[in-house]
Amino acid sequence: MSLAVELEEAVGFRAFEKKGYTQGFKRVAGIDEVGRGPLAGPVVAAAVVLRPEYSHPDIKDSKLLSVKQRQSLAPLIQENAADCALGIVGADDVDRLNIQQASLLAMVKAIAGLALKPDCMLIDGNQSIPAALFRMANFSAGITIYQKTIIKGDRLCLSIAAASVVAKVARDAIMLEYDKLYPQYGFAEHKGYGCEEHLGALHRYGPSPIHRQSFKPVREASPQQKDYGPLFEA
Amino acid sequence: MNLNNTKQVLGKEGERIAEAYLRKKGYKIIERNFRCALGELDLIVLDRRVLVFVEVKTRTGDAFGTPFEAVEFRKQQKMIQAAQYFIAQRRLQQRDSRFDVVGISWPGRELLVEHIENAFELS
Repeated sequence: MSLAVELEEAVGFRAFEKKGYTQGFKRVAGIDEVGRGPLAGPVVAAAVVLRPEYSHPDIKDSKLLSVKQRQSLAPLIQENAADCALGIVGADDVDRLNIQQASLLAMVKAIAGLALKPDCMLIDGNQSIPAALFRMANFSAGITIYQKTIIKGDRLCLSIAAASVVAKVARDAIMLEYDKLYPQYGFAEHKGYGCEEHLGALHRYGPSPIHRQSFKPVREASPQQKDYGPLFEA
Repeated sequence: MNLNNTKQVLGKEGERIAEAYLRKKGYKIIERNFRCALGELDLIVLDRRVLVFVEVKTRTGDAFGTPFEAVEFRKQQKMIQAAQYFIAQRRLQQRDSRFDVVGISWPGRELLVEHIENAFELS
């Protein structure tokens, strides 16, 4: 690949950020979340504000990188970013809300964790974050953040790709810990996703406290209906 | 790994990890997030017959010291007062008790769970 093409690609990858800054925004954040699909564990979102000129050739959609690449890239992103924060929403909150709301809440938490609030957010997917969720994370009233949703953002936008890498590495670390605490399920390998091995263990041992009861395969493997408290007692 | 910016982020997930960790050690969970006017306690557990008040510290980098150092004096005093309130409320004066800290940090690619028994004294 010629240098010219490479440069053009890098600039293209930064196009959304560049546009944001030329439109006068001061802090443009990329936001992505991982862990929507798994039957267990938290949803983890990351918000990354890269320095306006920062680029790294290896940063791309976390799904296109190997575990090793992601693990060496994540600290690099965190050190070089102007600001970087994680938002974690546990399995119990996934059950209480629903996976859609939970992943949006994780994003809000990530944004709330930034040292300085961004004024422009680039969000992976097609769902923007409703104002009600910002209130849940104690955002001060009157703050306005422009939201731009980008479908396939992790492939098209550098900041979102960076966020996807950080979120993925963080979630993997959490699932590795849960693998030590609940070793029978094989969380270290599948990270909570519903592969055959996981489903087998789920049926053999029943769900753990970090399984998402609102997900059908988990519910089906539960010995009885989950106790929802005295409200539902006869 | 420098994760200063992401400190405290594990939050509730850290408490969940700590709880599972203690349960695996054979402790019995009595109460989580006990709050009273005097202070709060993350976890109250039983180690066989001993009542244990646990503070969960979730730091994702070590730039701010170890989790143990993070339980500063004033926080200790509040925990002690909350513990005394709990003991009085449940009439548990006869039981031995102690204060533990479970620290969860993220120094590298894996999480590190540290359990400090008798982190400080009821005095």
